[in-house]
Amino acid sequence: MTPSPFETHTDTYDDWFDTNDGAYRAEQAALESVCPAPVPDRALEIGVGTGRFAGPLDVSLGVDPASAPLDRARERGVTPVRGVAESLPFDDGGLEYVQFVTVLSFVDEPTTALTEARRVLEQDGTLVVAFLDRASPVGEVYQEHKDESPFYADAEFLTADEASAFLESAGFDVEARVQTIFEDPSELESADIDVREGHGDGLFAVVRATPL
Amino acid sequence: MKESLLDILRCPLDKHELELEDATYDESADGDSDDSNGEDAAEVVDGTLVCAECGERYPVEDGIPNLLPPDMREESPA
Repeated sequence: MTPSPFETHTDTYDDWFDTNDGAYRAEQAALESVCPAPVPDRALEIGVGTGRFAGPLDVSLGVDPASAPLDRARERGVTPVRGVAESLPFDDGGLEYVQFVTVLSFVDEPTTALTEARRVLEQDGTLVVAFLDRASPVGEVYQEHKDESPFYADAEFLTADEASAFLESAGFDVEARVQTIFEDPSELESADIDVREGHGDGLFAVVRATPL
Repeated sequence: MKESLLDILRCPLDKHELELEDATYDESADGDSDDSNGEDAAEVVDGTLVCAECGERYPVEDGIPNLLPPDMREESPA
């Protein structure tokens, strides 16, 4: 197995959120606008990385295949578990809330990962999926340059339609869509937080869905 | 990890329950949790999680359960 860039470049990955604080805050605001408040106790982020999203949202559990980022997630108050999205180490219906934040682009089998998320969620649970929208203006730029990034070279960016199709085929009903980041993320100031309904214009797209 | 995590952790292969063996605990761990109570508050630092059905063994390394499918586990972690 090739070492993941998230394992070997953990600092580089984690530092992005400090140097792009405006974008990071906008992404958190978009997630907060659709996730249950407060986030339920039995909550899991799949592909939690360094816990940049799970920590502030109070998501209690995080699963990730890479160990180095999980140490950071733990420092951010997230209980870490090593595992993969396609073969989750959790009980059927054991969780009330599951989130994926820009992770479906990296899993080998998105439908399998979402089907696993469906399995571990209770019937009235909530799923939130955030992804980089390839069809948005900034997303088109990311798509053009993704081979230059150690993190994105292997990523398959999605469109909103593709994300919805994956969700539906895994047994979810889409309830809400929001988006943010309408310009170059490195140019965003913290005061620029702008979360809008719908998809197609913002780089960072978020969907809330419930089991059918 | 707290031992209470076993309530929802399962074998990634067949989703059966896991049993903790050879556990060492960090009794002094206070963590960041504000609702620690009773024996569940003790942190499991090392040990092995064994699937009650298929017998597959998963290590707990530095307090983190490694529940990667066995074919994805690295041979010798750096």
